[in-house]
Amino acid sequence: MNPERELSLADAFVELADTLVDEFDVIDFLQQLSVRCAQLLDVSAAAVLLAPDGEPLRPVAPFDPGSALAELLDAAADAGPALDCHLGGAPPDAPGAPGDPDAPDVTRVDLLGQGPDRWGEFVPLARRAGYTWASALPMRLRGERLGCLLLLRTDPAPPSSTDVRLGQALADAATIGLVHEQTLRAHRATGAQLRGALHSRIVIEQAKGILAARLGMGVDEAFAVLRRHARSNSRRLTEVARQVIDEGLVPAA
Amino acid sequence: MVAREHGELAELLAALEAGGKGPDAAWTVRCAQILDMDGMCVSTQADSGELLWFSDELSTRLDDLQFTLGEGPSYEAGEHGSMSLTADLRTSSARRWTAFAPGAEELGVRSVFAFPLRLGAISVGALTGYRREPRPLADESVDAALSLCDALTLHLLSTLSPPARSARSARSARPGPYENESTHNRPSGLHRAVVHQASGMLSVELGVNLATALDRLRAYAFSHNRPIVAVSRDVVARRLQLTADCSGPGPCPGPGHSESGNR
Repeated sequence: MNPERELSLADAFVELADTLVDEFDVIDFLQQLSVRCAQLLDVSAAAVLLAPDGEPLRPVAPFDPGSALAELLDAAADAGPALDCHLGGAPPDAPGAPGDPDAPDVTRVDLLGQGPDRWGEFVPLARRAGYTWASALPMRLRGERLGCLLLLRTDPAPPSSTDVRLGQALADAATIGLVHEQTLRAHRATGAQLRGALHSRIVIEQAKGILAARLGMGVDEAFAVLRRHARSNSRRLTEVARQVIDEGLVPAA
Repeated sequence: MVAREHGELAELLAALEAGGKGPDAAWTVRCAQILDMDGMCVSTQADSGELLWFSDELSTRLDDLQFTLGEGPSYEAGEHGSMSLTADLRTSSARRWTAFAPGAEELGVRSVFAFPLRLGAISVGALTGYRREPRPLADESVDAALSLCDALTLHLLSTLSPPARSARSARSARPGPYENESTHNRPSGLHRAVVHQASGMLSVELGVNLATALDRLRAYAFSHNRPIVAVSRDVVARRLQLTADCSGPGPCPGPGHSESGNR
């Protein structure tokens, strides 16, 4: 591992453990996790799927997946390695999933070696988007299942076990951060918090659509405008999205 | 929450699913029991102020009081989209409702818990419960209330217009070991990001609010017998334009409904 990556990794862990800030926002936090994984691990895409207690799995981060990945993540919530991993860890019969003694819960799948019907739309959509390997890493703490982290690769070689373990460590740090944040606040059940995150995600999607129509651009570009405005004004993304919806804010494109 | 209550919660949720019988008075009575409240009601957004279902007389009086005064936890939940949990109306924070807090206490109420019925920025109304004794709501009750609110919101939104049948709903994920069947019922497609992006775009293009825009999407999908997700993708890709007047079932006539470039 090169020294620069080591430093970035250390930063990422500190960031993911730091949920004690005043303005902690779950959805920004999970966005950060997906962005960090995509940057630090040798993967093409990283996504977080969440399931509040008893609810179906749903993609929450990144906010800006692009249309092919967005469609794939929707399918992944219905069937695929992410759902399998969330429900019960790696199925023993997954072809192309070499057992990793250090990460027995990770579902690692060779997408090119799968029958197209195995997981509904997941495999065909993943292949169409150019992905070759998918790894699903559980976000769990003491039996509580929060969801999972899905890593996607376009390289023919499988993800290295170092990357898978690092990914799992980042997912664990994020899970601990989330659970820690919950215990610090009275009256905030896990379900309430994760549900809040899902609603925040919907608010952001609604604001993307509104901005796209107002500025005559695509939803991905509209999201870039939204994010830029949030960053340059040091505001939370959900706050800015609310302003777009409730107050008719239209940031400069 | 014990297993028996889990089963009862699942039954309450099942009544809210597409094809379920929907809430009624008996539903609200059982809902109050499961949430460990003395009574509860469901009302629409504060300004139209319609009381939809209630478990008892006192719930209606509590709702009346808020409507008359124009303040209270249900208003807060509806307007801000956040929970408003007041374990004791005598605490200083509850006294921000200068008229409601003493008024509710006069009715014999000591705790009030209001939960928003919302879908992102769309606010439909609130679920409000009370207790005669001042006591905080347990986390399990909060979680159960939020599950019920999500299901109620979808139920209310889908009863506004004909239900959009999603082709994806037929192909639901296989049930997991710890989940009941109702958690995998996804009749509406309303958990898809693209549907909310399309609602946002339509709200601007048609000059309507988000709830109405979503309603148009559903109506269009229903009348054209297409999944709402597919229609939303076309809207977001600007392959499809909807006009403001397409609502009820049947085809939407008129030049505004061009469907060029559909898959």
